Amino acid sequence: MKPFLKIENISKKYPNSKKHALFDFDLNIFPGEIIAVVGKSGSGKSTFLRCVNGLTKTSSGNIYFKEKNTKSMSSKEYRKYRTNIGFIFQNYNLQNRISVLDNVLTGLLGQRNPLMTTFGLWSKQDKEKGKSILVEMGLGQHVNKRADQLSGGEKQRVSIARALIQNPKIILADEPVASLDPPTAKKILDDLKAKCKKRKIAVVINLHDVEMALRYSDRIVGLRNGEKVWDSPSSEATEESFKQIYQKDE
Amino acid sequence: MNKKITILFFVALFLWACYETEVSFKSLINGFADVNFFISEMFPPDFSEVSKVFPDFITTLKMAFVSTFYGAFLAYPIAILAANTVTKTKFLNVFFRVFLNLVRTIPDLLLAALCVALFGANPFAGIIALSFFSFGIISKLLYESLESLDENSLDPIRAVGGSWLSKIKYGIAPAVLPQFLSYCLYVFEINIRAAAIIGLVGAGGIGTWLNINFDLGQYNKISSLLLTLFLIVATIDFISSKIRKRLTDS
Repeated sequence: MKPFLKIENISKKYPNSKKHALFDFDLNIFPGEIIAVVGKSGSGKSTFLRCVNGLTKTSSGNIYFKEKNTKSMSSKEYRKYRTNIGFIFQNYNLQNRISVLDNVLTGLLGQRNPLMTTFGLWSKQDKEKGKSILVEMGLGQHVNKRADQLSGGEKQRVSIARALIQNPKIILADEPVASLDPPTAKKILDDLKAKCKKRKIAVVINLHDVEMALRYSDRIVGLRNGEKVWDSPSSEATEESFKQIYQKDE
Repeated sequence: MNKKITILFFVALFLWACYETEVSFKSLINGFADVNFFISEMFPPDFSEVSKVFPDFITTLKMAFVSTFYGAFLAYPIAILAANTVTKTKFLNVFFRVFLNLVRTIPDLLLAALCVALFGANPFAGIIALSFFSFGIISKLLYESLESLDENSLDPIRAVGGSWLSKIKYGIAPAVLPQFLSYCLYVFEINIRAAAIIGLVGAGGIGTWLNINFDLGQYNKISSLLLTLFLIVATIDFISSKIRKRLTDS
């Protein structure tokens, strides 16, 4: 099987910072696999995810989507590339003052006519699709509520629905359960895994919790000070590997 | 030490400003003698004509309402172009900020006088003048709100390849709507008073009657008009501040 997303030697250095946030990072991502990225906070996990879909610009290195370099894409092609990527944020990043359904539909903004969507004109199919995904996520009774009326766990489900409606090839999840209590976190990750496996969507998920990472991923990638220090199937990850990832800096 | 110098500086500045502007207690005391005359003339207020000129009170309210509406309608797009969080073209930001500063430099009375000269002594002239005035305040307040928006809240829309219009409709508009409405109400409150004042230069509404009565020396009629205006303004301020509180709390 060939990787559909190839990340080649990407580095990121923020202005005003001496150190690289991410350095010479490589990763091949295959369809449908779930990769957990682990590491201490500040190890570059978020920077990595944000570089993949261009929320943060890389300083160097290349990203290939289906063998096409994202750097050589026109802005229209890049927009199209982004529609293949769902993103789940730690703090949900929903629009609080619009309805749950509208929040889910924003996942389609890159794929629909901007003039139509600006006037709130969504096709019947889009609306039905949004509703059915919300029902699938167990939020059927909340469709027309305002997003700020939901609990944390429910909000994260909405943001998963927002990613799923894109029909993405991959979902990037940046610490999706860090703000939730453990039982809710477990339920959310169970759901995320099940829905993505069912649709054969690849997932790259940043987690700081090692147990969760082992439990939900097919593969574990360890980051330390912006560099990849571990990459193996989850079944091969040992206590030793985590020590290496989390050891104190000399 | 620094503190003392600061205090000394401001005291000196104050005294100098008083000297230069010829503030004197003697003129103040002399002036008070006439105040006595005005007050005795104003009381008791003569309410006999209030019902007759009541339609002009309504005209004043209408002028305030319509001009707030026009002002807000113009302010929204201009504020968006002036805010660097939304519009990423530096030239446009600077251009519209300078333009907004210019608009706010023109005193409202001068603007009203100018409009009367252009459009004749009628409420329409007043509405145009007040629309400019409202536009200046709302756009300034709104663009400052837009600049303080958390840019991360737009990430979900950027991440899926949403357009500039999509960002406005699904990211910015819902987030600033409460502040925007609150500014509109606030400006409406100011406009009622301002509409009465610009009536003095012939721009229609109740100000016209204030002017006429002043010229005729019928101060007891002026006081009745002012008391009625006070009641109207106080009532609207009360309601509007309640609404504004609710808007910004949620």
